[in-house]
Amino acid sequence: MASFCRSALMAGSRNLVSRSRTVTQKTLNLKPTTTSSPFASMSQSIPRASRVLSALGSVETMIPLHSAVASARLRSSIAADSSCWSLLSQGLATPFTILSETGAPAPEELKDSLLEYHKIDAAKSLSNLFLQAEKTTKEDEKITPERCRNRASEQSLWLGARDKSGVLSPFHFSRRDNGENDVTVKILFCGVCHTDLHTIKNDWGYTYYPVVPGHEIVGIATKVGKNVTKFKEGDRVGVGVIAGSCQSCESCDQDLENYCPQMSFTYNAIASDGTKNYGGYSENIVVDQRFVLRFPENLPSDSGAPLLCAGITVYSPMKYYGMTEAGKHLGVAGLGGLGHVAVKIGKAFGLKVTVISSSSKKEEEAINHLGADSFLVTTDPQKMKAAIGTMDYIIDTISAVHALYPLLGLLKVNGKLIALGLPEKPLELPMFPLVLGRKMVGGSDVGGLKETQEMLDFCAKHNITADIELIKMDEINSAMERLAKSDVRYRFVIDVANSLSPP
Amino acid sequence: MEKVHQKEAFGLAAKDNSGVLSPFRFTRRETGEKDVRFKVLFCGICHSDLHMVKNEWGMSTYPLVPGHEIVGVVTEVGAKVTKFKTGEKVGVGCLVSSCGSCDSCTEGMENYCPKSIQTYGFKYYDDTITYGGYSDHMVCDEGFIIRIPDNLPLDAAAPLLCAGITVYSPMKYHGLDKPGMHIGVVGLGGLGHVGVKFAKAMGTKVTVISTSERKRDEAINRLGADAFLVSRDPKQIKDAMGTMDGIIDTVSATHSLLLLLGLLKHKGKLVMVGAPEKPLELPVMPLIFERKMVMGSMIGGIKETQEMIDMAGKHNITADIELISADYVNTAMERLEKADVRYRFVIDVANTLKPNPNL
Repeated sequence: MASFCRSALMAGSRNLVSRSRTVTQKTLNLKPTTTSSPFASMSQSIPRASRVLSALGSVETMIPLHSAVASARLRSSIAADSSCWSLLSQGLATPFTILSETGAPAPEELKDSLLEYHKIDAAKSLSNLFLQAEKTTKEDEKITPERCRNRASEQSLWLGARDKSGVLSPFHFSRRDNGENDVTVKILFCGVCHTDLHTIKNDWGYTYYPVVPGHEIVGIATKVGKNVTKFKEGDRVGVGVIAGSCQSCESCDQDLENYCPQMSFTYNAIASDGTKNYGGYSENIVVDQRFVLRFPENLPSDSGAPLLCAGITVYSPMKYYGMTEAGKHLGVAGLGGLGHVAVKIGKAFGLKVTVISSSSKKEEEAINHLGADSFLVTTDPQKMKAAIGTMDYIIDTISAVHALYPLLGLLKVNGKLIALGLPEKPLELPMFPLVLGRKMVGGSDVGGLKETQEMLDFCAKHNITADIELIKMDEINSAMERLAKSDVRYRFVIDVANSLSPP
Repeated sequence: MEKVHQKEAFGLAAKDNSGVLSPFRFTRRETGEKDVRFKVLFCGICHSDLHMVKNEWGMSTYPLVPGHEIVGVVTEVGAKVTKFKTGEKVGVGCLVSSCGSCDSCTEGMENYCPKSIQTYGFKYYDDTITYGGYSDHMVCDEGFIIRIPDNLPLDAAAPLLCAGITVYSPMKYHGLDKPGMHIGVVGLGGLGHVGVKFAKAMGTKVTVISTSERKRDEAINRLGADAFLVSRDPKQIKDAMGTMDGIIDTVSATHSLLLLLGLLKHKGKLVMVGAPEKPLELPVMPLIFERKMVMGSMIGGIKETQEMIDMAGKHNITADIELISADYVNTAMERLEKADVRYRFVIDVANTLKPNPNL
């Protein structure tokens, strides 16, 4: 789930930025109109932000950004200030290929002005982000009653990472009190998503420590606030990727909290009360009832947990883009955490499912175990040729940079390709197949809460779970090492309740 | 002179990839049972004609008679033709045949039929090569003939058969035809200027997106666009971020999709109708975060083309053209290459294309 979650986290950083904007503009004497100084002066005043600054520096010199994430974050930050994050490129060599009818590059002075315009925005936003991060971290390092006055008295034991070594170790902290609209959940199981790994290692550059990962949480409601109507004590519930949103924007009104500009993620994000969110590698969690899911009776808690992220990530686009018509042919590119659930959900919709992979390694498993109808190895030119124009839809879960051309070729006329992975660089989009076959490329990012509930009910009805390897809490660091090598079929899940012991 | 069929024809052809067009005598088939034969009055010059005469797509066969924006008057109909009769005003666009039995054909999307036959440069069923509209007359199956509404001037209507349907089809198919929507049109050339007119007729708010201020006045005051956005002006771009429901991108040079995706609202659609030769860079984040979509579209089916031109008739939509004589065609091609035309050349075939007695 590196794929979608990466994006989720980036959106998370947007959150952070927008929330802390006011602070910075007062604190930082940043002159948006000066052209060369912001970076220099910032790097002196905010040493912690050096990584970002180097990323920005690379934009300045038109050199490819040193990491996709830095650029992505740059973009996310811009979003908060100007809602135009799409303007920055995705780490490509020429970030400012300006729209040109003639194909000629834009004049230098125009590039400069556009670039300058973005740099200023980016600088503003990033400084905000990092001040906030620094502030938060310091607060967290010195826990005092005053600092925690908005927090709860309820103690929770966490498994958190304190620095980018990514080593997870136990420590105590507190959650907020159970509020009127809150559900307190005793955690039974929590899935280990690839995003967790990226976050604890600060791969994307904006983790603020200590961080407690985990957004595939299943547990038992132990306390409900007085306004809580949907749940009662003893109910089995789930918490996924989203733990908060504004609840009043157009997206929220349409049950698309995942696209709410103020949505906050379950961990490594700031909640609406200004406190930090911590995830599910812990004994309990307190969440607003809107973001709590009813876990269907016949869905196992352990292997059901990954559905809260992987499941909804593939289910949502299938519904939204109309990819559920029985008898149609679905291609699933990449057979990992997302892909293996996509195969199962695709079969449950009555689709013919073909797994598309770069090697035949998983063929037997895909067909005999997961129930795929066929397996297509992309390096086999004959098979690829035979499969041209046979698929109605493709779910592309690959997050490495890869060629879209062969995948688009597999689609029929009017076919749809949905990208869920977020590669480090923009992908090459060939226009001829798109135009000649009226094909479409779209994307999707988790799902709203209503849809997530629908997905859980659907999976329960069709007995769909993730294939998991259950681990104890103290095995998490070796599990992370294995996950880094993709050595898991297909998801680690932590047996939290049975293995979390006080340090 | 090529003597394959019985009916003598005369036109302009490229003989090699120099792209120079010169007079050419050839033959067309007899009027078959389901064929309509018509005298060509006008033929538009599409940018693909330029690509094809120079073999820039590597698929040209010579001699090549271009032209797929053809209008004229019916002179003869086959015994089983039911829809047309002599004297009627008709047209032929990019296609002259298709298999008639595949999914695409069944759904009226002959343009996506893998066996469809284009109006020129394609092999026909009798193994001859199809010749286009830079010629004195045409013969075509009635299933691919479009009726031109009486009120439309034939010269300015001709380009609708390619440019018009190319922009109309995706607006309809992708639901970008709802009154009140905000539509961006990228590139104000042959396709773009017709795109503005159709989008306005559908009741949408239209913004033209261009690299320079040059065409602002024309876009707004002449073509009726609501707004004009210079893609190189950061201020203008910033203000327009996240405001459009759909964008019709007619630019066939390499350009930035990132910028265009930024202009779209959440769930907005970017429709590519130009086809740059090299792949464009696709930033995935806007697709994932905001469910924006990038899709392509190519001309349209016959039924849809008729629907398009009927709508043009109703709303008096035509292309803005520069009418030229047949002997100006090579100069016109040179000017077209430099985008020096507002917005379409149309050849006055009937009045200026005369058989050369010496050929």
